[in-house]
Amino acid sequence: MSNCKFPKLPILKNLKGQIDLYDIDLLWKQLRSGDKAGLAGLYRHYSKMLFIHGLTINSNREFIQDCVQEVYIDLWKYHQSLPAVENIKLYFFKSLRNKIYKEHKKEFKWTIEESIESLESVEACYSSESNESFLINFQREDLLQRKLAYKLKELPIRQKEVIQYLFFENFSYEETSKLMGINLRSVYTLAWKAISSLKKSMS
Amino acid sequence: MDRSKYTIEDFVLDPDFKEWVLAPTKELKLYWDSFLANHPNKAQDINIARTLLLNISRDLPTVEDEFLEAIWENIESGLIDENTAPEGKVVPLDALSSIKKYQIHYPKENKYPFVLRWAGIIFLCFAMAITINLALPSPPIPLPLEPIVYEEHYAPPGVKSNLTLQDGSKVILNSGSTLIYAKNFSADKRELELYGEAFFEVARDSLRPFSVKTGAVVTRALGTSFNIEAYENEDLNISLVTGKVEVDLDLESSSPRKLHLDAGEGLKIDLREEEVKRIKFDEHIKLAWTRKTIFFDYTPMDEVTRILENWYGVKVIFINQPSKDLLVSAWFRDQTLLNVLEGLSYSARFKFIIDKDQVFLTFH
Repeated sequence: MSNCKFPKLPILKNLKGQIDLYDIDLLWKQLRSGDKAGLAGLYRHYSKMLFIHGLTINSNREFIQDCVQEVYIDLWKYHQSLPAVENIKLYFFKSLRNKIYKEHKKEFKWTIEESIESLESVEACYSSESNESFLINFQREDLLQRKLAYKLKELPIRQKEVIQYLFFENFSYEETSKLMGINLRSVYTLAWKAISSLKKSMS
Repeated sequence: MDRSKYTIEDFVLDPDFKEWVLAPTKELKLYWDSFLANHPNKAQDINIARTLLLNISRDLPTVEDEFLEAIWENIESGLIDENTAPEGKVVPLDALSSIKKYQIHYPKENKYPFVLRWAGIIFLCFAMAITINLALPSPPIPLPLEPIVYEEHYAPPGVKSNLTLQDGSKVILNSGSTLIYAKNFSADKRELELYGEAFFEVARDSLRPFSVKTGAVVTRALGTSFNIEAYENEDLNISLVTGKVEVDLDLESSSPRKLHLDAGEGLKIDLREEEVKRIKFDEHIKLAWTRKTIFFDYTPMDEVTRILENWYGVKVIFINQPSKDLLVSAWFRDQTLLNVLEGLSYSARFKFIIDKDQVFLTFH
């Protein structure tokens, strides 16, 4: 086995906020120069985020696992031709998205049925969590949160996706537009529709 | 965008608003305080937007560290390791790049020298330019641009409207429906937007496609007649009577696509599930409404209600809920509301009371 075994670091226990402790640009540089430690570091930072995001828009675990795995294997395969990227998080999300959609296009129908069918069965291994930990100071309403989480899961995939990016991954409108490959106006319209549906479930 | 015209959704989506709710600064507090003071009517919307922002949640799938570690091992075993590769062995990627280099450095030998080739290209360009000039008539003199004036036509419940558009196309607008269109169509297209139901007889003009937008679906024709039902929260129905139309679908969950319809064909689009079905339809039933005829063909009670409300300009109130699988089949030609209700009350098994513009139904 190699010497860059997946390191157990506190970052996995507390993903949010601590990422700045690591120099991601450096890791990216290492990866480009063929240092496997760079890849391992980037896995440490982004794999959990990518899994959570992936599973939220498609609950098929094996499928998402394949997609995430491929993202990292490809990075290594093509590390010599990787560009200097400014926004590395965006790069990872975009790569994952490409993987998901490549398959998703073929099996669009299946995912919809799958996600409805598996709603209850998956329920067991899901817990509900609100968007940001710093919200803890505010008084929140559990029931309302559960309602909103449930409604979010029921939205069409692209609406779900846009809410994920804007509200849970904190991407800007510009970043989201790049990620989804649609113009700013469409991002806004899509998000507007999603919020409108969520709003309806509040009453 | 002017914040005083914001809807709840716009507030939720405004980054400044989000920051004010989630991580307020002094400046933001000052701004929004004064905004609220100036627009007290927005206070309720702002409160709803704030509650939504604070409570928006997602189900968090569990991703265990052990699981992540196992995947990492998977990934690692799939990596091609540069350092452990035996010396002298060529990595496929490198081989390919070498071949590419070779191709660039030693291009195929050309039959014609460089100068001759360019001369040929330039000559061809001239020849084509001359041919095109001769073959095509001179372009029309551009007309002075007129400002586009949008016309909105609403047929209130109880009224059906017959419209003739500026290009000669005829539209019958069903009651309770709205049609929006440019008063003077532009030189290259005829665009309309429909909420509700209308029948279109499109005047032939092959240079200006006639397109009707209904949400994410656009129906485009050159010269045809077709019927569109685009009522809120119901299936979208496009029924082509004569000619050909092209339908652009831009649904959420799939990339945009085009479908073509022939006469007698229709599309039934379930916008919620995003299901598109190609169907044959009965012209007598679909266009019955243009001939003063109400036609119910295994119609669910909600739709019956919507049709009657629009047709007679009344409000239908259910005292108790009908069973969900209640479907109604009947037709009425030029009948009064009383007659229609009497006819329906036997098959759908309800009692009714008409009180001015309200109808109360009690199901057995």
